[in-house]
Amino acid sequence: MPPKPDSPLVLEIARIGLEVRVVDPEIRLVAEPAHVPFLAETKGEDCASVLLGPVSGRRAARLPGRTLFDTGSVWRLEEIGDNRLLTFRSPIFGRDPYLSVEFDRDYMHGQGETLDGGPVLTGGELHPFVYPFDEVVFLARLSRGRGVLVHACGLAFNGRGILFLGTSGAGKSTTARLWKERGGATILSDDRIVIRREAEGYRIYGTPWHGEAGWETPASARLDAVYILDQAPRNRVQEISPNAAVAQMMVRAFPSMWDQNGLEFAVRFLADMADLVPVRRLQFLPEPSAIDCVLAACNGGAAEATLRNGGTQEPEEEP
Amino acid sequence: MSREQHGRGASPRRSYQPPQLQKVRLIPDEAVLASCKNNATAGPAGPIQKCATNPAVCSHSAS
Repeated sequence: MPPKPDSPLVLEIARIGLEVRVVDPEIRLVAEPAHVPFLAETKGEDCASVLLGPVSGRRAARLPGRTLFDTGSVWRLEEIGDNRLLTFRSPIFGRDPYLSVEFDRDYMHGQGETLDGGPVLTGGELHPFVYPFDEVVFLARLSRGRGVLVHACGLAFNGRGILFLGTSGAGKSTTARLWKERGGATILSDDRIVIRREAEGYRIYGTPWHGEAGWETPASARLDAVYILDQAPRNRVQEISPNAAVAQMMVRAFPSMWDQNGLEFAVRFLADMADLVPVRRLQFLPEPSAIDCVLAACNGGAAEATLRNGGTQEPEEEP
Repeated sequence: MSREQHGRGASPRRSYQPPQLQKVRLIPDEAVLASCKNNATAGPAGPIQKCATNPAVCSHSAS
C-alpha cells in the first residue's frame, strides 16, 4: 500500500529493511515504481534508518575522511572516525555530491543531505531510491553476514527456486521471458537476486533493481539449483566442481569490494552453498527447449538432461 | 544425502580438493555499481528504474 505523503518510506528486500525519513515535513517522499511492491507499512526486525534533508552546507566545511573505496566518478566511501560516509556524484551536477549520507559502521543509522534540484530532491519530492544509493546500502548491509547479491534471473517453479547467473548480455532476461511464456513460474527478478542462508537451506529473494517489464517481485523461494548462463548453438547442461562453481559465482556476485571481511564472507558463503546446492553450466538456445533441458537436469542430473536434449556427454570444461 | 536434499539433515562431509588457480574476468564498473545500468551495459534498460549516475546520457534520467 502506498504510504501517506508525510510518512517515512520503508523498503524491504530479502527481509532487510531500509527506512527513509525527511527532515522537512513539506518534502514528499516518493518511491520509484519498481520499488513500490517492496514497500512495507512498518519496520521489520532488521531495518536501517536514514534521515535526509536538503543540503545545508554543514558537511561542506568538514574535513574529508579516509577514502576506503572510490568508484572514480559515481560514488565513494570514506571512513570518518567509526562512521562511514557515502557520497554520490554525477557530472551533470558538478563536483560536489548530490547526496551524502553518514552511517554508523554497521549501516544501521544514517543521516544525510541531498542537493535541492538534483536527481534525488526536486520540486519538493525526494526520491531516495534512485540508483545507486539504495543498492549500495543494501550491498553493504548484506556483506555483514546477511547474504549475497548476485547478477541473476531467479524464479520459483513448482515450489523450486532456480537461479540463472549471468553477467550483462548472458541471457537473464531472455531466460525470464521463456519461463514466463511457458507459464507456472514466478519471476523474482531478471537481473538482481539476493541469496540468504536460512534454517531450511538457501533462499532466493526478488529485488527491485534493474529488472525489465515489471517482473520484479518481493517473493522468495528455496534455492534448489544454480545455472551459469552461456548462450550457445545447442542446449547442454554440465556439472561444475564446487571450486569452479565458487569462482564462476563470484564473478556474477556483488560483494563489498571495499571490505576484506565482506569479501571473505561472500567467498565462504558461496563455497558453502556450492557444497549443498548443485551448480551447473547451462549452454542454451534462446528457445523453449532450454527450459526442458533445465527441468530434465533438475529431475535427473546434468548428464541425463544433455542426453535427453540431443547433446553428448562431455567432460567438464574449465571456465 | 544428495546435494538436492540440502537442508534436510546434516551437511555432507566435504571432500578434499587441491588448491587451484583460476582466472576470472570481471566487469569493474558493473561489479561496483559504478555504471549507468540503463545505457552502459548490454542488459536491457529498466523502463521504471531511475538512474542518477549520468542523467545527461541516460534515457531514464531522474531529472
